[in-house]
Amino acid sequence: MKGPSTIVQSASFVAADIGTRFRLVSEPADSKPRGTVVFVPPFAEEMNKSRRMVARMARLLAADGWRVVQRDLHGCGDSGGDFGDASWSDWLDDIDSELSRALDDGPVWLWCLRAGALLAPALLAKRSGADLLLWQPVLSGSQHLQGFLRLHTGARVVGRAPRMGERSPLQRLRAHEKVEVGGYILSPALASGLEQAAFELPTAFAGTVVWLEVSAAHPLEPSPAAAVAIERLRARGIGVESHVLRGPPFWQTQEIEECDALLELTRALLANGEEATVHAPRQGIARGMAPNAAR
Amino acid sequence: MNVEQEVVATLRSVLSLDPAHHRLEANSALLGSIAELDSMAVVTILTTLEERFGIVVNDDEVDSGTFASVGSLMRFVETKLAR
Repeated sequence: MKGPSTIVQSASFVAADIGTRFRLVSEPADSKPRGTVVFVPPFAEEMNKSRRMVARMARLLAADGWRVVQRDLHGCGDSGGDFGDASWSDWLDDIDSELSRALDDGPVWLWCLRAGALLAPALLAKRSGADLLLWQPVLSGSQHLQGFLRLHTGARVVGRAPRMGERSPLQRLRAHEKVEVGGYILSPALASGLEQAAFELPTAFAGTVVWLEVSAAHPLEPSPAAAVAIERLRARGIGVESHVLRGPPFWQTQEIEECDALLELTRALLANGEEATVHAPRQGIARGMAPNAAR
Repeated sequence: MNVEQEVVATLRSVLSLDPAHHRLEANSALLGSIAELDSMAVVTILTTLEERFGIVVNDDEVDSGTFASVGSLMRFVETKLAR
């Protein structure tokens, strides 16, 4: 195997419908990229907690020959706008503009972390041709929203937030008011989009799915909800390569954590996917690594 | 199911408490005594208790009194189980 190649990273601001977006592209310095990996970030604090893992993955994949595109979504810190101004459809538009550009230029992996997976169905319904790389995907938007809003309850219990009168944050959102939870101003337009989203791939989807979970539990097995969703996809004839790795839930741990095994397996599966395509063996960790190591 | 054991096990794992330094019994104080118990930890404890006991906690049902001590949290779970 050719040693890891040098990479270049270029940062820019690009115009969007409202304001500008920050965009970071990592790619090999001395060869044409073998394809594009478009990152779809998780929601709110999970995005901050996972920045290190995402940055490391982007650099490693670029060294493996991929162009990796990380676009900061509307209101997410590096891009223009406040979080409270962002809507679900803004975020769909943000990723769609990256996806459409990438699909003109070779194979594409849509790399979704956590709630990023909830944006994937609408994106893939609009544009076909991308494969799906899932890291600990969130399957139900309403559950995810509920978990996020619960931070308000947590803050109230420890005495850091007052009761919002008689109405819960969810009731206030339903009344078209913005709410502040966990340091984030959440707009009804974002919350309702999240709440209605579910990980249901469009019928036309014909790509491959790589589904990776990280767990500290014994024994290591997919979460029950993931197992059901994976079986449903396989029943539709979609090739799903699923693995569970031991590691910390780096997207939510108090301290910033990393999971090297997830980085390495992802590299191997993407390298493998390019050669073997579609139906990779289900228990394929060892076999998936082999061609990569042998080159 | 032993409610005390389950509640203590949940607190230990969520708060990463070392048994050698933190004895957790029914009269052990929580809020104000254990620095690790922040708003995120409260959320994780509630979610974990829901999973372990198969209960559904309405967010309006909990306040600082619920998390005053191991005992108050146990009584809360017992009340939910009795319904």
